[in-house]
Amino acid sequence: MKVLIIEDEILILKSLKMVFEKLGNNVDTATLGRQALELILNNDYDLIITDLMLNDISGFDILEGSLKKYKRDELPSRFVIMSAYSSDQITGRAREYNCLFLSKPFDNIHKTVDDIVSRFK
Amino acid sequence: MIGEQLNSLNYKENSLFIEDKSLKREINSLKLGLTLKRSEQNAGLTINPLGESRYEILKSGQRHFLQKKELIQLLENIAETQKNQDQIKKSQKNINSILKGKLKKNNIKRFFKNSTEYYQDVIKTLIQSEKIEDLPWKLSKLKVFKSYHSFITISLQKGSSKSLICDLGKSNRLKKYYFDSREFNNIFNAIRKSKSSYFYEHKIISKSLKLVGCFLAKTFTLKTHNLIVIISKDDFIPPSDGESKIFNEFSMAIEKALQFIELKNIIFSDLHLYLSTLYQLDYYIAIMDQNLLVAGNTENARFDKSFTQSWSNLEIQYSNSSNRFTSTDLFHYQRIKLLGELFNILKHELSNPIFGMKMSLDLLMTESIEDDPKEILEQIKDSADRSLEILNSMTDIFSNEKKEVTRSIDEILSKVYTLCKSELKLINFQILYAEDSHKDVKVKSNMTFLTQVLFNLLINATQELKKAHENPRNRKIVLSPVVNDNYVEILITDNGRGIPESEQDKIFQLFYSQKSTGNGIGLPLSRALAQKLGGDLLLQSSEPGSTTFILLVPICSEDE
Repeated sequence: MKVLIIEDEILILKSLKMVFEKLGNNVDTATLGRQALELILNNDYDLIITDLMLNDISGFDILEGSLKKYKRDELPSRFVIMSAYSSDQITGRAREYNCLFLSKPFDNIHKTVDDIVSRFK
Repeated sequence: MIGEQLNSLNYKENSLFIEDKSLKREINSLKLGLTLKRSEQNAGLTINPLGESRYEILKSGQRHFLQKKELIQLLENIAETQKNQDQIKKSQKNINSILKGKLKKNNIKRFFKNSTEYYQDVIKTLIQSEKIEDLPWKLSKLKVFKSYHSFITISLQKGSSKSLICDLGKSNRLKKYYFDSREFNNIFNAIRKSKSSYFYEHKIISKSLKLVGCFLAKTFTLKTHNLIVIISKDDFIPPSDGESKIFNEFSMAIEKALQFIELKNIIFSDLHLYLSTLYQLDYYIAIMDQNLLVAGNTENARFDKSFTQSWSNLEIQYSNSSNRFTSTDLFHYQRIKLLGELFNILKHELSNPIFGMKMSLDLLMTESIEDDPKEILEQIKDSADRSLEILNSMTDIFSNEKKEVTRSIDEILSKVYTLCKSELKLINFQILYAEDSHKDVKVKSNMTFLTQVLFNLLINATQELKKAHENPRNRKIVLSPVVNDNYVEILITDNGRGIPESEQDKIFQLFYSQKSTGNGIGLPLSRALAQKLGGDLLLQSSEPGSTTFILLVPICSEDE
């Protein structure tokens, strides 16, 4: 699988990348939203995991920007939303995309990644 | 001119002697009510006809000449004065006893009871005045001053730089204007020190005061005002001793009335203060007079009558079933609110790096890592450092220490930025120094308060921007410190929707909030804190697209 992980916390990004790679996936990473959007539009990813709070634009902006390439109902089969901010407002808005929503921190990184991979394979 | 003729005529009393029988008859036929003296010896003035409607007036051996018209005017004045004097004499005894006794503010009734009818009326009329400015009107209505044309009061509130002149002239129109307090003080002192109660305009040199000829004047020193009262006939005839005496006695009598009017004003403004205080109370309070609401801080009181107390006919009800806050609780409330906000920020700011560290450590312990583990360990150390920094900046804003610390402007702003980082994530945030050297300017202050104020302002701005602009790229906050001689002005500008002009003067009022979720405490409290630190917090300007607050903070002098 070709995977893109968007996360500005370096250690989280690196850990996720490592675990995904161990499972035989091809992983790209981005710490900024605009950089990620460029990668999305120029590559075909099977799975895109995005954090919501980034330093330039938000994860929602990435989802909206991806609509140039994907139809809205295609988003759940491509995107996983990840956030440490689990206010009702944010989870509510994330739910509107029907995407898988991961609350940080997750208990077991291996289990979490396994779950995601089995869903998107 | 009669004025020129009589200018130096200082006649005694109002007593008049006329020897010429036909002149006597003529004067009697005028029915002025004049009383003539029987002998020249006791009279202040002697009048002799010279023929051809010219008259000689003898005063202490000096001769003055008048035309018939002028004579009649003089006689009228004397008659008027005599009348007034008679009235005064009748009440003299009573008045003296009253004036000797002190008039207490709640003794007005007793004063009326003891006073003569005439002064009762005067004082009754006067104390109806709402303000000292009403005085010229009231004076002009008094019988005793019927023959006067100009009534002027000049009042200076102690400590004020402008005095107010209220001038009721012949036209019967009250003119109000201001003049400088220095000019006021010159006039005030000249009148106060003078032994005589009348003055000529040329003695009182004032560009602003338009006076003609001779006038009577008296100064009053009240609790919060200095006051000059001037009455004038707009002519050059000096007042008789009787007129002066009446004016003096009158002045003594009205001093109490003036104090009363002033007191009324003070009570009135106090009442405003009480009412506005009522509105800030934690409790709902209603003062009822036989089930009618007389005063209170709520219009449609729905009382559970937690407490009622009766006092004669009045009933005071109060209830603590309100969501108001007492001012003493405000600070406490704000700190709890701040604690909540800080806790949220702390959770957001710390959970990411700690989660990252935990995940990396898990992997380091369980997996064989192809990368150099040293690199990951260094990153873990960075994350731990960052977490500690966040915790440190927190202690500044939420410490209970009351001591002052010296910090550079750069240190302070960086700390606040660290705290607001998660809030500022999707906002263009800049710190713009006018000069690079300003970064190192030192501020000695209570950092808890100072960072709280900055934090509050930044959080307010971010909340506004999130509402104002959907697209984060359009949201902008600029912090620009400008260093002056004694202060650093920290300008906080956002490009939000702006504060409507009608609301700009209200935003620092307690419990006033534009935000539906706001409580109207943040800005008033921030201002109070800024002032506590010897600075201030002001709204510099606000319009759609640009709102700027200025936080003034005193800087350290060089020797500190």
